[in-house]
Amino acid sequence: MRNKVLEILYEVNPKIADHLTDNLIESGIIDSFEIVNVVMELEEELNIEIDPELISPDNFESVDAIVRLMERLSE
Amino acid sequence: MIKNVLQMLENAARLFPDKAAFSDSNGSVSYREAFASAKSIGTCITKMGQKGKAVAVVMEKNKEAVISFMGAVYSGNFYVPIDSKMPDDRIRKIFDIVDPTVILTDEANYERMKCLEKKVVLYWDAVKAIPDEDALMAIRRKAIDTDPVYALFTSGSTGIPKGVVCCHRSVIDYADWLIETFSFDENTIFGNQTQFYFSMSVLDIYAAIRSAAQLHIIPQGLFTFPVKLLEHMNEHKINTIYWVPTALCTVANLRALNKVQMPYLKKILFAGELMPTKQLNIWREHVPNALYANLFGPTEITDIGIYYIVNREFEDDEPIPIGKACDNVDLLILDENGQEAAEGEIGELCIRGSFLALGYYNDQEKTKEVFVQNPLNPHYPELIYKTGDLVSINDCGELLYHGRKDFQIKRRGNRIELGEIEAAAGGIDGIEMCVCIYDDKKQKIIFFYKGREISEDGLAKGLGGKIPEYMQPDRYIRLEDLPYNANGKIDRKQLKGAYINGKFEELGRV
Repeated sequence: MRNKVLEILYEVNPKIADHLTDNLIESGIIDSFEIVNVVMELEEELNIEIDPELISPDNFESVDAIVRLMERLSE
Repeated sequence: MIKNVLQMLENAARLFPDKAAFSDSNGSVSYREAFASAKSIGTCITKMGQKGKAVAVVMEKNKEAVISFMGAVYSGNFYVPIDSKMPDDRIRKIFDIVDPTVILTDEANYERMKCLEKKVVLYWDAVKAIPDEDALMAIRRKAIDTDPVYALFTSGSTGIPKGVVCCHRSVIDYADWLIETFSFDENTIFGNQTQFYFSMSVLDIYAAIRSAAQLHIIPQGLFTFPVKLLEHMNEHKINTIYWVPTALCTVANLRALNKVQMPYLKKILFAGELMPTKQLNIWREHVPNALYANLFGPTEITDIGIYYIVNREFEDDEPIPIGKACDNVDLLILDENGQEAAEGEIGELCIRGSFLALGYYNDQEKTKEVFVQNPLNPHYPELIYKTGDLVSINDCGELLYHGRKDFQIKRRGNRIELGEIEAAAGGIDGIEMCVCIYDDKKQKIIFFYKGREISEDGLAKGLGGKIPEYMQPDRYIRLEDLPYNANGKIDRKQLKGAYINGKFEELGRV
């Protein structure tokens, strides 16, 4: 799952590769525009639906957090 | 007669002293408090003995920043809002142009501003000054409505930002038009999204003080998390917003309106770029009773001069019209010879009226290129502003947009001259030639260059020191050589076509 998520994230924003352990929100990698691309790509590629309430800082602050959320939603 | 923007603040403070004027995540200030604080700041700046000069405001986006703007005007100077996230290099360029008499700043930016070798004053020190009513009165006596209120800096194609200077008369007339058209009043609560260094914020600030409304500054981070954003808006009972379409689209695309109802929201205005109809329809479906309006215009005419109040249904693939001229604004559509374009023909949109800015600060040359004598009036001096936008008029008398005459783009509501990015990149060691194109559909800036191989990181860092984040290219592509057209100019069309069709290998990618 981690590799698949990383692949999707790189496609949306190559800069993520340099911020694998950083806070993606604070570093400005995921902003109000990028979040749409990230969510839509994840939904399409993983064939899942992300409830709008799950689009929160906790779930998108880092690559690890996004991977955890995707694992939960794919179960 | 209102001839000074501060009279709007003073009227609001007189009629609604205890009403909230400005608020942010740290609370609110009443009109009485805002009025008093602005006078204190004005007094503090007055002691520096300069008038008619720039006061740079380098602060986080909060209610204190708005009070600082008013304070600068009290001192008989004009304000220049500066994006604190901008690289030092670009701040220096702006300071070179306006030579600020003082920099008003906050703790977060104090040390950095100190290094720029200018007079720096902390907001929290300035606001402690005891208002000197006599001194402020003397300044007001001398003031007229064609004096500047602010200069807003926008991207310049040669790499030098342009400072658009607007006067009291323009701002007052614009505020009056807004109140009349949209019936804003003391019950209005604006939910501000746009930055204070962009002209859209002029609506938020001045429509608010003109109608004694409340201006609530929404924390920027919330725009990434739409459900939280909508909950925040409801918590603050925001009933009016004026956002860039990108912000509205994020909310629509992430289906946040399915989760949160918006019982307070009554007026939804947008400008800065094309509003996609599909997302507008999502908003209209969920917030059906609100007024929707598309506003259109550049910083050089204060904020906008053309508007369209959505009054009919649109299919998802039908464009939203940009509409008709505001009251007391006149549009001319001129052909290449400066004559009126034939009916229905495409021409350059030109504007006349009191919304027109005074020009670009300290740049006569650039000013004269676009603020020109009305070619249809040879009889007496009358300026029009040439917008560079190509438009035509449809059968309903509504304006249709057909793109730009030059290489200016709008990305996520930000106005960018591709030339500014190219000029900044020209200074990077190893780049021989470069050109940027814009992929409108994906909203990505693609940077093509010829020269030594440089890592993407190296390019991004090189540019990061010169241009703001929102101008940064999304992709860098190195080519053996750049394609040229018959006139010997870099062929942007060919590059764009090849890029969009995924064929840049053919152009000699290395």
